[in-house]
Amino acid sequence: MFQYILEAKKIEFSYLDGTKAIKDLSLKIPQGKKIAVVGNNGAGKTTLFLHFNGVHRPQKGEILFKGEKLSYNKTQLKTLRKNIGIVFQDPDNQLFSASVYQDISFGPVNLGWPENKIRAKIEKVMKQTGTWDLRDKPTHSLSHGQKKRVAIAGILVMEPEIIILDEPTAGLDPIYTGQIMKLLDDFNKNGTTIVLSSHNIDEIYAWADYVFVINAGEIIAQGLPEEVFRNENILKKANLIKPWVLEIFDELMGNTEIAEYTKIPRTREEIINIIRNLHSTCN
Amino acid sequence: MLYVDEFVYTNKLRNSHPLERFIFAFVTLIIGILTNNPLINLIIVTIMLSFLIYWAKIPSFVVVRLMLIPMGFLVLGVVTIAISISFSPNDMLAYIPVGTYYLGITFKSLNLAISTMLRALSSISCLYFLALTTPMIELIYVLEILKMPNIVTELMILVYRFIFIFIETAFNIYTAQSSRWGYCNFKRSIYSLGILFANLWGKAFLKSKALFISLLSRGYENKLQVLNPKYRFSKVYIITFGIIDLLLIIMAFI
Ligand SMILES: Nc1ncnc2c1ncn2[C@@H]1O[C@H](COP(=O)(O)OP(=O)(O)OP(=O)(O)O)[C@@H](O)[C@H]1O
Ligand SMILES: [Mg+2]
Repeated sequence: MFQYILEAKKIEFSYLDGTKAIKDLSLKIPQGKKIAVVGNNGAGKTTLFLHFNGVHRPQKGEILFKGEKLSYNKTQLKTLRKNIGIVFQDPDNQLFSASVYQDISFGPVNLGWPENKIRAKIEKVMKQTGTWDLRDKPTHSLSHGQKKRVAIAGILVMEPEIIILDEPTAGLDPIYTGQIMKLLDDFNKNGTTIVLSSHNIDEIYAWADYVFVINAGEIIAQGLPEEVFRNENILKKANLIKPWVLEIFDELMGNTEIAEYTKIPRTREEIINIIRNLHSTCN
Repeated sequence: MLYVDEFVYTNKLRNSHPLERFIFAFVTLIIGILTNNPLINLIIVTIMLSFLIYWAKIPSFVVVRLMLIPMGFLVLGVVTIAISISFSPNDMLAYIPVGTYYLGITFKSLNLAISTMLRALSSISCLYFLALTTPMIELIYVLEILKMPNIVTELMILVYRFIFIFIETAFNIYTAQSSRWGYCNFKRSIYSLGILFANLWGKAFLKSKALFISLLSRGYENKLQVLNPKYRFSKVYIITFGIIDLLLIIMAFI
């Protein structure tokens, strides 16, 4: 129905100390897609995300949710926050209770769901995020990665239309990173729009449908991952490193006779397949 | 306190409804206070400590150390009760003459001192039983059941969590400072400690702001409503606790 579920139109934002964190930034988030926002430290990712649920208010420009301009009145903010879930970068800023179970229950209780439904949801999401075994532990004795998973569970359980995650996999080990990305995929298949920021370019490249590159408060590039991450200029400007899959693929392209129609690989498996095929054609 | 906290979360009595433990501790406490029989107090101390050590599996040195904490006060207070002043040393068990007075211990005062001591110990052991088997979150839950106003329980949830964030932050700053020789001599120590505290307040302020933002994002509206895990009542506990309290009441008052 809404092609773009979330839009920023020429927004500008400075912090109280005068830091201009966002400069004349515009972007459109298509509904039901997997969106990645990449950029170096201090580029403005976190600041941008806080605009999306009305915590920050742009000093210039406007934010649109489902085509409707945010006016920042109470009822509108309420529906906005019901529909947009944000997982914050630092889980310690999100976990307010010493009880894992209490913390995860907070959002759904606010949504006013019946208790049975909440309990069933909590259990399901806790099992999906691997936090069910942590339910009797106090949050202060959890490791960083465990806290992070609890924080993610606390948002997933609310089933928002858009889930925004600020570096969800920073500090997670590879197995849990894989599990969380897979879980996000599952939510996405059910229609949830996912927006995430990450410094793990390889992970983004394999996962995202669409990429925004942000630098010094501006969007300097956007497009399909295989386009954006092959543009040396952009990579250089935003302090990014080419995904290794692409790096190898481009190397292969330069040196061997790969058929023109080969699909650009996105994942480890795909590039390995290409290399295997290469071997078999040589022999 | 933090150290004790870890034992609380892993104690073996945790798998039941916190209300059972709360009522047991409370009723036993009342019995111990109302009774005139020091033997009952002694029994209560024994029961509570052995539950903690053998049932809840709290290491005995932790329990002993905790029991020793209030001992200083207790002994001081009890000594002043035991010693009495009188003109004649007639019914004193032991005394020293001070001018025309006699400072000494009578049979009555000694009795009173011992029973006061035991009564205090039994109260303390009841409270430790509750504190060591029931994590703060469950205690807050019990208060909720007992219709404590929401504002109090909400504050307790936040304060309890913040204590740990606060200590963790302080500890991190301290580690960062001391690993760069911030506490190598007295002068530097004073300087570093000053910076630590100044930063701690700043950080605590930022943290609480960030926490508020994230609460807002999850639909916070002046009310911190949460669900607790479903606790189950257990027959074993209720029957055990019930029988013990019943026997104590019979022995103490009938
Ligand atoms: N509360 C604040 N007060 C003042 N300046 C801030 C504040 N928060 C962020 N900034 C500044 O705004 C700019 C953008 O910061 P932001 O946190 O959005 O970056 P980021 O892209 O999320 O970086 P990272 O990858 O390190 O998380 C930075 O220059 C930062 O120093
Ligand atoms: Mg950030």
